Amino acid sequence: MQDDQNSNQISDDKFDSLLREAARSYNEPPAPNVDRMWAAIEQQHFAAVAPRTQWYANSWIRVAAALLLGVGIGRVTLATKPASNPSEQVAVQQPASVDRSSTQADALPALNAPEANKYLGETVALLASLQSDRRSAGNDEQLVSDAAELLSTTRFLLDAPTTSDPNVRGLLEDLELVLAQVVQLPNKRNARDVELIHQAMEQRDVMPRLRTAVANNYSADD
Amino acid sequence: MTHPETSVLILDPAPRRAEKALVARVLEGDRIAARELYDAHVSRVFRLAFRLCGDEAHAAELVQESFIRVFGQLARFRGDSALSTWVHRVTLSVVANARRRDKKHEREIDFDSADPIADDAVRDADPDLKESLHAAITALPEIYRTTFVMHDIEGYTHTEIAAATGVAVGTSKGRLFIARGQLRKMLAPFRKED
Repeated sequence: MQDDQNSNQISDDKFDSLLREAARSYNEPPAPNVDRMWAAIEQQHFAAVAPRTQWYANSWIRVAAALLLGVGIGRVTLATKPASNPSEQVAVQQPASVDRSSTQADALPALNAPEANKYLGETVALLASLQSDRRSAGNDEQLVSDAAELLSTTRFLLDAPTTSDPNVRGLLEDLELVLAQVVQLPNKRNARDVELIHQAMEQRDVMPRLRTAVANNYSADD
Repeated sequence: MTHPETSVLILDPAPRRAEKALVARVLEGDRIAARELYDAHVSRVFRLAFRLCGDEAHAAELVQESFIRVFGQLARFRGDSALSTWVHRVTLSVVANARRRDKKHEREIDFDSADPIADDAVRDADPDLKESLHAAITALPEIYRTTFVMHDIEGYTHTEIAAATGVAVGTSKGRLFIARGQLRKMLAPFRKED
């Protein structure tokens, strides 16, 4: 009996050894072309990081962003007030696909509150400026550069293990997609490029969800 | 099993100081320092990405995306862990996100219900142990496959895997145990031939 067990054990060990040996050839990597990959990284990252002059220094964009934020906060505040009259409940509608419970203030625990406000506010302002600009052609390197920075923060948040709320992750994934589209805008963008981004934002309900997140973040500061 | 090419992710204090200095140079805009940082990690990152995706062009894209994220977020790196740990964590996140986006992987085999399907697939697919093993590894759920590939194929320690995947060392060991057990089960028909 003992001999049988030993014999089986040896067989298991031999089998495990064979497995490990065979596993080494699993997706055996070739030598990487490090220079080609580096060239792509340089082009995509370092070229996008240009000296900053804040695009939101433009007073019109600041006004537009503030209005959007105000409207967003107002809509959410209105939506949370209990209606005294049943007919009012019909008039007040939440933005489609918005799960308010999903965008609580601690939804971005990877950032402290001021950082989270800054990130959300800048993202709203950037996307709002893109909406106000949608019909015009332009050459806006700064917008692309700022979008690249916000994209980087978005990916940081997606990578953070503390960003666990699936709905917040969904919003961040949509922002990642939209910001990536902004980053890829050609130097001489045309109205069609911007329209495609705008369509993506509308299909995914990005702005209402983002404004809800902003409103919750601000109310958490109170 | 020995892996002479594997360097440790948890570095001694002296290299950690040199690493912080390198990071500081990169943050000041020193492109040569950025390339140094890249050169220090790219080989292992590429090996891991390729092992996990199995396609050279796709692995190169994953590596590029990983380093773009690393450079983009470098200012947030506080030096609490080794830079290589952080680079690997970013890489695994990029690989996982890419797999989620890839529709081919949307219907991954559920680990708990994998046995009968996988056993048949392995038995019928190919009599060759190596090819069957490769198919079985690919069929493992992501967390087990990553742990198995990192430990048994690429030679990372459980400490390194735990740091890069954000779990406890015990969890990493448990995942490897389960992965090996699953592979043994999937390849049981070959054992009988021994």
